[in-house]
Order: sequence, then C-alpha cells, then structure tokens
Amino acid sequence: MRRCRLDFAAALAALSMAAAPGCGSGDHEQVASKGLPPREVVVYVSADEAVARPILSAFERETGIRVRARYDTEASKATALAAMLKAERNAPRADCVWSGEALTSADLAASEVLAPHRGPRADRIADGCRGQSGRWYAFAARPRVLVYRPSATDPASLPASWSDVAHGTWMGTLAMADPRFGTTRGHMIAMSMMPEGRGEAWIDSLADLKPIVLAGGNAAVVDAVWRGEATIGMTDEDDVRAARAQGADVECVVLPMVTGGDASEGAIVTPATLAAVTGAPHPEEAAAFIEWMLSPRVEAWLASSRSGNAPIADPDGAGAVDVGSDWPDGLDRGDSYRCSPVDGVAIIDWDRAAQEGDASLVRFLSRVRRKP
Amino acid sequence: MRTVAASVMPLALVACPLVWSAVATAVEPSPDAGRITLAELAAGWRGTLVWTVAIALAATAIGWIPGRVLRQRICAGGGTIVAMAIVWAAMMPPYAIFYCGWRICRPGMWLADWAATHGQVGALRMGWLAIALVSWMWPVAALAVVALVPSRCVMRDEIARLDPLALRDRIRMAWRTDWPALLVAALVMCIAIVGETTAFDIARVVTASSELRLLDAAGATLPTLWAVASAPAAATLVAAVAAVSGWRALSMRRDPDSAETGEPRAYRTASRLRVSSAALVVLLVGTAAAGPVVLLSIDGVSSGNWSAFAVLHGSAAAGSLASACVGGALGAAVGAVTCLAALRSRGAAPILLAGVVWAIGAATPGVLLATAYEAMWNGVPALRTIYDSMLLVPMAQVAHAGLACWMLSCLMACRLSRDAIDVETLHGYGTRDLIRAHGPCIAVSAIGSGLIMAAYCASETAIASRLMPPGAERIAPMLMNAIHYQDQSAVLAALPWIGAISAVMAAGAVLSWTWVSRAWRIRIGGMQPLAVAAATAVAIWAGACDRREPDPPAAGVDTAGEGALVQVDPLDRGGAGFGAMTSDVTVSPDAPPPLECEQVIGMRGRMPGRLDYPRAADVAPDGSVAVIDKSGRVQRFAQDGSFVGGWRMPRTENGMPTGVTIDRHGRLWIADTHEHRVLICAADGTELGSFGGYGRNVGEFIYPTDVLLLDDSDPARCAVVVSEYGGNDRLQWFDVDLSDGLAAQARAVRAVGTQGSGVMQFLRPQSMSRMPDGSIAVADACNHRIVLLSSDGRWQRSVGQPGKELGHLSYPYGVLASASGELLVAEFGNNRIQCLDAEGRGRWIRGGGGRETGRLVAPWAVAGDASAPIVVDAGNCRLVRVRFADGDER
Repeated sequence: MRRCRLDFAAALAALSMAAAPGCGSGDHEQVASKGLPPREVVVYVSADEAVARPILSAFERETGIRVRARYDTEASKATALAAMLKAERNAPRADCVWSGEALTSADLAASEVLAPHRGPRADRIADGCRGQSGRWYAFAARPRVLVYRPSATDPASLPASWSDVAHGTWMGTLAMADPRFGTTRGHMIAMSMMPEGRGEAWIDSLADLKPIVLAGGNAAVVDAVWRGEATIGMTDEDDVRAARAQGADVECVVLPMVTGGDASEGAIVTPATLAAVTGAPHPEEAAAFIEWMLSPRVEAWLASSRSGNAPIADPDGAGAVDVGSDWPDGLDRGDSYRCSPVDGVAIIDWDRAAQEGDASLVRFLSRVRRKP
Repeated sequence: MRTVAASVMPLALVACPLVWSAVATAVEPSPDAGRITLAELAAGWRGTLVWTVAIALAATAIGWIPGRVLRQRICAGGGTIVAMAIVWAAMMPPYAIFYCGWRICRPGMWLADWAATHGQVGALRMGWLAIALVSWMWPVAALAVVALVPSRCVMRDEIARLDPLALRDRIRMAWRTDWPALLVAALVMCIAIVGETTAFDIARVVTASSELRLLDAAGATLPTLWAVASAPAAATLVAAVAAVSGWRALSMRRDPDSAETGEPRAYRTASRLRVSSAALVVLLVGTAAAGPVVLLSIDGVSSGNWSAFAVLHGSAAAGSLASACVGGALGAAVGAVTCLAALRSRGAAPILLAGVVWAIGAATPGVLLATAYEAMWNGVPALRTIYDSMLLVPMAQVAHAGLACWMLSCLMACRLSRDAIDVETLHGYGTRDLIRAHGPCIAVSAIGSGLIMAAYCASETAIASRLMPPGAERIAPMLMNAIHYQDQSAVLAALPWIGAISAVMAAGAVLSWTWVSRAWRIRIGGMQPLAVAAATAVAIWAGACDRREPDPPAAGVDTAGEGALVQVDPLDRGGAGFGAMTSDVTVSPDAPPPLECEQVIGMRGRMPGRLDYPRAADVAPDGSVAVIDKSGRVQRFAQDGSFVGGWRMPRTENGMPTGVTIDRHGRLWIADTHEHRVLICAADGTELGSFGGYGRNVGEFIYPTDVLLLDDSDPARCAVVVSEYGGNDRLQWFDVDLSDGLAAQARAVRAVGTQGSGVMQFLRPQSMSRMPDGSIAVADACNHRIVLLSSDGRWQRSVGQPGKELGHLSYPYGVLASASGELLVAEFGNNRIQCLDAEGRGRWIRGGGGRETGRLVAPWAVAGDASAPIVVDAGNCRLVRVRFADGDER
C-alpha cells in the first residue's frame, strides 16, 4: 500500500516554490469539458469562504459549469454541513463536498452519505490520502499549531510536543476551540488514538488542565492568546496567519505528537477533502469538479493564498505550477509567514478515527465540565 | 371570516412546521447526541437568563429617556431627526456593533492593555457585548414609550412640567405614566435577546441559544433539540404572551379622541426648550452604537474595499435585498390582514389566537424553527420545490418575528375610535368600505410590518444559515463568516452598506409614519425624513470617500503662507498627518506644467494590484517595478503595468519600509525603516538575509531610509551605502557577504555625517542616487538640499535651498541621477519633480499638486531610468512612468 506523501517539510518546500511567480511549466490543464451546454454542480463547502469563493468562480469560468455553493460558519464548520447532508440523505441536494478537514468526510463515508469516486487524478492519489473505497480524497493540508504571544511568552518555555502541552505547567492557561467541531475535533481524536493507553491518559491530563474552551472556533483561540486571556492555544496555522495579517502579535510552532517519538508521531496535519455525494443530482458535474479540484494548480493556489495549505495530493506538481499567470480573481495572496515545521507528520487513520473517536470527546468534555 | 383569516398565516407559518416536527419526533424517536447533559444546559440557560434580564433592564432604563424626549418633540411638531436616529440605532446588528468596538479596543490601546495587565480581558469583552446589546435594544424601549403611552398621559406630563415639582416626584409621575409601555418593551427585548446567537458567538459567550445551535450542528436529533428547547421556550412563551396581554391592556386604556385631534399646541414652547437635551441624549446614547461602526466603516471605504466588496459580494447583497423584499412582502401581508381583522373586531378570539401563535413562533428558538421547517418541507416530496426555493428562509423568518407585525398592526387598529368602529359595524361595512375608511391605518400597518420584516430578514443569520439553499447568498451570514475568518477587509467594506441601508430603512419607517400622521392631522415633519435619510446616506459615503490619508504631519507643508515652511519631522509611524495637505491640494494659477505620463500604475486600495500610499519603489533589470506601500505589501508590476504578484513584509507592527533597491540579480534590498535593519529578499519575498539593529554605534541603525548599491557585480558580496535618520542622520558604508545563506554578514566600513544642517551634516537623508562619475547624490530632505559626496563619503558640495522657486527645494525625498549628471528631484513639500543640472541649477519643474494625471501629491521617490523614470505619487496612491517630450528643456 502506498502511503500518502505527508512529508510536511517537502510539502512546505513545494509550497514555497508554488508561491514563486515565474517558475514552473505554466501547465494549465483543464479537466472539464468545453463546449458542453450550461450545467451546474451543488457544492457544500466548509473551507474558508473567502478562499473557496474565488476558486469556485475560477472553476465556473473555465468549465462553464455553474456552481451553487453552500458555506458554513467557522464556529460549526464541517460538522454542521455533515449533519445537513445526513438530514438530506433521502433527498440530497448536494453533489459534492469540499470539507476543511478529513474526519467529517470519514464519518460521512462510513454512513454511506458519500459515494465512491474514480477519475484520472483521483486514481493517482496515494492510498493514505483517500478514504475507503475512494469515498473521499485528501488535498491541501494545514498543520495544527500552538499559538503564543512572543512579547509575553518565551519560546524556549513552550512545550516540545502535544503530549507535553497536557503538563500541569499550563493549568488554566491553554485555550482551545470547542472540541466537538472542526479541526480541533480531529486533533483531539488523533491524540486520543495513541496506543498503549497514552491517548486516554493524554485526554484525561488535558481535561484536568481546565483548558479555556472557547466558542467561536480557532480564530477565537488566536484572539484570546493575543489579548492575554490565555498563554498558549491549540489552533490552525492559517488562523495565526490571518491574525498576523491584522497586526496581531502572535507566533506559532508546529509540535509533534510526542517528544522524542518516531516520525509517524510527528506533526498533526489536517487535510482538506473532496467527495461526491451518494445520489447526487448532478453526478457527472460532481466528478468533473472533484477532478478539477485535485489538479496541482488548485493546490498551488491554495498554497499561495491566505490559507497557505501545503500541497499533499501532488506536491511536486503543485511546486511546478506558475501561479502568477492565472491567479483567481478575488483570491487574497498570503504572506510569507510560516510556523517552523518539524520532522515527520503523524499518520492518522481518519476512517478509524471517525468510528472510534467520539467516545474520547465525551470523556473529555464530561471531565472538563466536572467541578474540581 | 375576516377575523379568522388573521390567524391563518400564523397557523400555516408557525404551527404547521412545529406540529409536523413534533409528530415526526414522536414517530421516529432517536437517541440523544449524548454530548451534553440537560443539567449542563440548565446552567447555560441560567447564564442566558442573567444576560437577558440585565440587558433588558439596562436598555429599558436608557431607552426611556430618549423615548420621552422624542414624544415631547413629536408633540411639539418635530422629532424627525430624533426618530430617525433611534430607528437607525435599532437597525444596526448587535454583532456589528460589538465587532467594531472590539476591533478598536485591541492590544496597544490603553484600555485593552490595562485589561490584559489586570486580568480583566474577559470582563472587557463582556462589557463590550453588553454595550452592543444595549445599543441594539434601547430603541425598542424608546419607541414603545412613544407609541404605547396614551396621549392624555402626555398632556398630563406637560401640565406637570409647568409645576415646579421636585425631580423625584417628576420621575415618579413619569413612571406611573410609562411603566406599562416599558414593561411591554422589556418583554419584547427579552424575547429578542434570548433568540440572539451571533453577537454572543463572536463575543465567545456561551448561551443556551448558541449551545442549541451547536447541538444542532453537531448532529443532535430533533427529539434532543425539542427536549433541550422546550422548557426555556415555554418560559419565553410566557414572556411573549405577557407582552401581548400588556399590549391589550394598553390598547384598552387608549384615549382615541386625543389621537384624532392631535396634541395641544400650547405646550410647544416648553418642548422646544428641551431640544438641546434631546440632541444630547440621542448623541450620547446613539454614539455607543454608531461611533465605532461609522469609524470602522469609514476606514473600510477609504481603503477602497467597498468597490471590491461589491464585485465579490454583490450577489450576496442582491440576495439579501431579494430576501428582504420577500420577507417585507410577507410582513406587509401579515400587517394588513391583522389590521383589517382588528378593525373589524378588536379583542376577538381569532385575533388573540393569532397573537398567541405568533408568540409561540417568537418563543421558539430560531434553530429549532429552522429544523422544524427542514423536517416538514424536505420531508414531503411534494413540498421540496419550496424547500429549494428562495421562499423558505423568509417564511421561517416571518414565523419567528411575525409577533412584531401583529403587535404593530393591532396597535394601529386600536388607535381608532371605538365609536366609529361600532358605527361601521352597524352599517355593515365590507372589506372595501373598511379599506376606504381606514386606508392610512391599514397602510401604515402594512408598511411598518413590511419594514420590520425586511430589516429582520436582511440581518438575521441563525435561520438563514440553516435553511439557505445552495447558491443563495446573504450579506449577514457572509459578514458573520468574515468576522470569524478574520477577513477584516470584507467586514469593513460591508459596514457602510449596512449603515446606508439602515439609514434608508429608518427614513422609510419615519416617512410612512409621517404620511399616516398627516392623514390623522398630527404634525410630525413633512418630507424631512426623506431628505435627512438621503443626507445621512450621502454623508456616510461621501464623507468616507473623501477621507484624508491616515498619514503623519506634513513635512514642510506651506500652511502659513508664502515661504513659511513648517519644520515638522515627517515620521511615519501611523499617526494622522499628511491628509491635511494631500487632500487640499489644488492647482494654483501659476502651477508648473503637468508631467507627461506614459503610464499610470496602480490605484488606491488594498486589493492585490492596488496601492495604499506607496513610498518606495525601484525598477528591476527586467523592467518590472517593485513597490512598497503603507500596508506593508511589496507588490510587483510588469513593465506594461500589469500586476504580477506580491507579498507582505514579515514585520509591520512598528511601521513600514521607506526605501527599496533592486540589484542586478533581482534581489530586493529593503530599508526596513521601523525595524532598524536592512532586509534582503528574493523577488518572491523569500528572506535572504538582514543586517543591522537599533543603536547608535557604527553598524547599527535608527530608521534606515534607503540603500544604495555601490558594487553588486558579485552575487555573494556587495558594497552598499545605507542612509538613516532619527538622531543618527548619517550614511554608512557596508561590505555585505551573502555567501552563507540566511546569515548575511555585514561589515561596516565607515559612517559619515551627523545630525545638523552644516557641512557633513544631514537632517533626514531620505534617498540616494549614484552619479555618472561615481559620486553620491543624497536627498537631505529636512535641510531642503541635495548633498553630493564622493564615493568614499567625502563632502563635495550641496545644492538647493528652501523655497518654491526654480532651483529651490522643499523636502526633497527622492533623487535620481541621469547619465548626463542631471538630477531629478521628487519634492515632497512642493508636490513636483524638479530637474537640476550638473551644477545644481534648476532647469525645469513639472507636476504641481493635484489629483489628475500629471499632477502629484506628496511624491516620495523617483526611480529607474532617468529618461523614463517612475515617480512614486504617494498621495495619489499610484506610480507614474514619466515621458519627456522631444525638445523638452531638460
């Protein structure tokens, strides 16, 4: 079985190449057919709306397929769209899903809300970057990071790994988003799946820290750290980049899962996913959309955008793309700020996480809410 | 039958979906989501109750005063502006008010820093939230005091005011008059606050409604949602029914005759004496809502984002407008039908039944209502057309807020004389007769209800984000997303739209009231509301569009008259400044001829390819131009002026760079002024190295301004000169070794100059250029001269003196030497380009202050080839490539 190329350092290198205008082949492949009558595809999107919207417009412009998009809010993210997809299962409106994280897609795949997809680009994606039976495909990842305020916290005092975050040093000073949703949910479940009881122990230790669980998502975590309400916070790199662009005095570090572990317990990286919906009203258009989105060019755009995702579906291809020549209208370019990468990326079985993970969340929440 | 018709709409819109979902719940019980216990939710509800009661009480207390003021002014024949201000404040979404205040109160501001130091950030956040909610709600109390207090009580107030009563007695008397209206207002506020989720969400305050929304998002089943929502919804229902009952009691107290005849004019004088207090009250209270919003709105418009917003989110704005129209039409229908029914039989059972059902709709949390709608309209195949249409969201929104339309319409109907209605009943008036007899009353019910619903539908998010069909877009959810995603530019661009739309809607509400009041012979204010609304909207836009550049005090701007140059150090750390000069620039009759521009690059704005006060630029070997503006972006334009790409400076907290030089290898040498260093970057922004740091020693910098390349033939070793100011006003020579990757090794060779105006002294050496003979021309800005140094730093001479004449200079910021030894000087203070010959004599002047092409405002630099140079026209936010015509005297 081939493994998904989640070499984060390599992905970042590809990312920086992709960000450089003028290099690369300028290969603008277009998957979708031209000359067909106007068609439409209904996409449920839980990625950053400001990033997704211009890319969907580029798809419309290039293929002539009209996109009807449904976005969700940062607070509830993919989870809310998943609930909606399940509610609509008997009469689906959506053709495909562009999710900001993998766990929800794995959950939907297990419920068979998502349908298997095959295509030239999808077939080239490594096994570790796709769901069972090809019900979802991963691309454009972003790391989970620890955010801190450099003017208030010495970087040398920061924990060396996510395991160390649960150390009592950070009692009451750690901020995190609601773990029932989004990438925080994936992060927590990924940690809880560490073998030999380490995952459960970590969950208990973290809950005992009495972390500041914030409504409002990962952006709220960065805001809380910037304003001094918390010392450190668990969040996504793109939220730190967005806050820095607004002038926030925050920095971030990528942490491995455990201190001194092997590469398979390295950084936690959350990929975005694409999937077709079972019983979709427009299956052909959905397939065309997924193939178009899995192109190196889209990964290169996302890498250079404000969300700064690392290309993982085809990092080499993305690195060779000249993003300067056909940059989508309205897509904000990101700045050059990156968290320092670590060696290795954790290998997470998202399908298994979707099956087993929620029990640990219930355990965590009940422990957090329990009075001391 | 007509009265029964009034209850059909609430039954269809509210009762059917709720009953349907309840039945579905009973038929298809499913397990709880299991992620939160009822006990935990009860705790959430307790917190919500505290917030709700506290905000309702505070808003009632605050709204009471302007309400009484407005009432007095209406009695005196005025009140238009006060009414508009109050209605406008009610229409501003609370989450927008909170966001604006919270953005302004950011680290670096004394209040935020104090809160962080004392561990009070949470309290500060909740304080802002409270201010936002009170700012949103107090108009409800004010309008209730105006609308619900019987006219005879107003007359009693006026009579009492003529007596010299003690303040305490006057308050007691006012309370006796107004308490029922205030009670109704407080109950309505409670319903609204309990249902609000977005403001609490953004403020990171967990309430029961937001928790309910998250439970729904997490996949909780309908039974769970019902179980969670039923108890508090019942409590809210009690409040809603109490509000309805309170209204009913009030309507029975009303003295119709005074409403028909208007208020005694004898009390006008006494009311007018309170004009200033009215303005003060409205200003003080309104500022809490309007101030931060307007401030940030102006910022958004001035940066040019509003046009980009229109392009990116125009469809969302259109969607909101369409939704508001549909919701408004439904609301108008509810208002008209209810008013007609109430005219026929005030207090009849069907009317009250309708009120109770609307109250149930208001008491049901928006998420639960949306879930019920989804269960019903997506559950029945025959109804899925509606489910996929634009109708569903406004329908659910009307179901949630129809109570307001019902109350307004009943109130309108009850203002009419009971005797008149009895006579109509005796004569067997039909519907047409009723409409003919009471057209204004029915019309204001319909218009008022329509406006209420339109405003609500345009700004509501909980239901819209749950039920919006794919492809449909709305401003409010988009705005909420932008706030969550920290996409401040989109938020700033949206605020003026919201403000302007609110102003127009407020004008519409007041205008419709005016129209009907005229029909009832009550003087209120004629056509003034429309004019004031138009003026408000225009003021928001025009004032914002003409906003001054947020720059530092103008250096050397002639503000006192001919030749009186103000010696102000033009430090640029983000203070207010240049604006006074840059915006008032006019072309005087004796202005020099304009520059002949071959190309104009960029325009004002913060979108990619636009410029926000550019200050540094240079031309690369391939002809492209790199430019740095005050947003901290380094942008690249191709030789033909097309935008290529860009990146941001890695550090911008302290200020932005003012100098950039591109070497023959394409690398950028950036004078990172406020970081006190020189940064070396590749063309794509990759950092290649930096050197320097704050200090006065050789090798250290205070505010470096420019980098001059003496020798860059070897890519690994370069000889450069760096100019600086801020006390260090001097030039330093460096040998820079770039062979070791990121660690640029810079060896300071010599430092030349001190601060001052004599020989070997400088006052802000802003830029440098290499002469054909190897000597160095230095723009000694605050000495108003160009200094010529040998390549090793020995003084040769200086040219120029302060003034406006040919050969005189005013704050020369940019200098560029031509192959023949002529100097092109960008004069920041004179808004022009001047050519000096090799001897330093003035040859010609081009430019002059102005906005049109060829004129300049505060030019910062001149770069590239001297035969076709690029001029950084900072105040106009553009670069211009200048063309010199044959025969031009140069």
